[in-house]
Amino acid sequence: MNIETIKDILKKFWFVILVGTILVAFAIYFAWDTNKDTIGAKSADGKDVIFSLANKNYTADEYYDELFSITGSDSETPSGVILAYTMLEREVVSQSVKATDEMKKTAEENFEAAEASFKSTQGKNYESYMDTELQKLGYSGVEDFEDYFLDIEKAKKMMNDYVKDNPELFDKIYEEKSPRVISHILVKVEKDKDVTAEQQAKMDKIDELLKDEDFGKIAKEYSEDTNSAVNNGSLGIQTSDSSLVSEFKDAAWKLKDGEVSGWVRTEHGYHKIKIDTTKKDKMLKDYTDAVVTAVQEANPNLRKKVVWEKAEKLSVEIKDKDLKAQLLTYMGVETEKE
Amino acid sequence: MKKRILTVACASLLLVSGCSNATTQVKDDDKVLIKVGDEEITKGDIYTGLVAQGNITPVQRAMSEILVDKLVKVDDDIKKQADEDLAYYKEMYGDQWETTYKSYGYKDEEAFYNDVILLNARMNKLTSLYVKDNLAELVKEFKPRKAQVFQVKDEEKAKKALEAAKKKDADFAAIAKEYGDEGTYNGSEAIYNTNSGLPDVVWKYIEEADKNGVVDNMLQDPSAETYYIVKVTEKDYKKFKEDAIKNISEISISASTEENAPKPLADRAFAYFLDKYDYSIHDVNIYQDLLSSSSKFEK
Repeated sequence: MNIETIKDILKKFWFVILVGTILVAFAIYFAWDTNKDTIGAKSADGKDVIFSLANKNYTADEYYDELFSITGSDSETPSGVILAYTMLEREVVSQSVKATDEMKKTAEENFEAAEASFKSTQGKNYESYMDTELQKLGYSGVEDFEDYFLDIEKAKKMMNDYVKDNPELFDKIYEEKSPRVISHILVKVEKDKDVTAEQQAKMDKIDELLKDEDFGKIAKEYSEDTNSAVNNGSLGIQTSDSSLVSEFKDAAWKLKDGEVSGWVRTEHGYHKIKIDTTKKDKMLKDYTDAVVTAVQEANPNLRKKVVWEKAEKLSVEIKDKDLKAQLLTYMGVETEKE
Repeated sequence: MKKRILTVACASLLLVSGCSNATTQVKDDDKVLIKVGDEEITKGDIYTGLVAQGNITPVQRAMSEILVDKLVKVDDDIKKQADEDLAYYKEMYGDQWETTYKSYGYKDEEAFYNDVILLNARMNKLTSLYVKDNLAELVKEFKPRKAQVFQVKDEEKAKKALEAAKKKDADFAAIAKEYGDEGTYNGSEAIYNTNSGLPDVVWKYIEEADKNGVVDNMLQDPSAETYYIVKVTEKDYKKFKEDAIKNISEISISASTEENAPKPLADRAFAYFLDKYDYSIHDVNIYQDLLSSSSKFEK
């Protein structure tokens, strides 16, 4: 191609060349601007490098070893073992419990509510936030969000079925700890302070309403204990060694089935206490979740043992010998003899 | 021809498509640790979950250790400081000492001592090194000056004190002892800077003094109903360089999220040495977690 030919081409296609040059320049600038703050990858000896400093590399493998060995909230078990258990439980629950339509419906409702809440608090970054939160629990990311809620329902069923099949667990609690299902309505009054006129008026109003209306309905509307108010004032099953304040406990254990107390003063304020039931059969029938909660509170490692039993039925293999020993210790399972 | 040119133009846009932020994984990320049915839990899954929990302390510690290993050897002074700190913590926490260091994820006291207490003592030295390297700039910000200051409530007494202090060969400390009231400022020589917390009227004089010597007039702090007698003994930091370094290194500035707020010196020192020793970061998630904890990790 000689110079004359090139000149001819330039003359003939000058507009296209101009547009093409502008596009290329734009593309190059755009690429540079987009990537100037990009975090680039680095590896050394086949290992991913997290950071380099003074010619030294800190690798992902080093970070893993350190994170794994940091003890968790129990100050005994390495964090890596706790996470491995969390992931194990998720798989066991997911594979061993069949989802019913009711469970799917509940899970879907909870998922929608949670998603709306995250959107509201996190804004447009809610998916990224949820991604991280789910990964902390051993899920892949936000795509598992719906599964997370279904797994919660499945785990609940797993424990409910187990407690139902092993009635001796609750029998023991019932015999030894005199449990009762308790609800209450709280009017907050500052510790060591007298009741104000406004607080007294509220208590009087509640007394008046309780003559005709359901205790749970009044608790939901008026109780200042927001945690129990959403559950119609229910504190679930409480036992003689629960952490309720002593004045509340003394009053509650003097009441009979269905009775409602007068106003009971504690450091939190004034309580109206109702005994929903003291009967074991009624607890087992109508308060299944609370029974399971009480059984688990009395047997802190029960859930892990149930998970292990189910895992063995699924032919679980823990391929790392050290991890296996640590997991079994964490789950309270006797170590197999070599 | 047209097609060729346009093709080149469009291909250029592909420059952006392959450049995304990097994350890291362990070398044997596909190593299966647990198998349940057909599902596998790999070492890579555990790594992803652990990183997502956001504990960046090991990364921060690794950076600190690299810097102190390069710049700050463990000498008797540092060891002594670390031992004193350990004794302090043990006394402070008493029976809860073991629970306390375990709550930070340490199995035993020795690991906590090496990773936290001794490292902290070495990091403090790092700040001094930073100040030494950047003294000329920091002096412009903090303006260290040597001065003697004492306070007198009574006006007549303050006038007499000033008169005495102005005499040739006057012993300022002795005059302070004779005329000065009990209080924070007792006439002994000290190094003051912008963060010393002196009454405004006193610091203004010391900062702006164009020569060493006793103040011409008493300085009155109306809010405290007190008079101050001040003598600038050395305004040129170069004449007390080592003390100036120590003085600035010990300045305490709280971390603040306000824009343009001055940064703590330890953070500045850290950022300075990261930059000096060619710091680079290669995992976007870990980088974001580092930045959330402190801007000193900014690359």
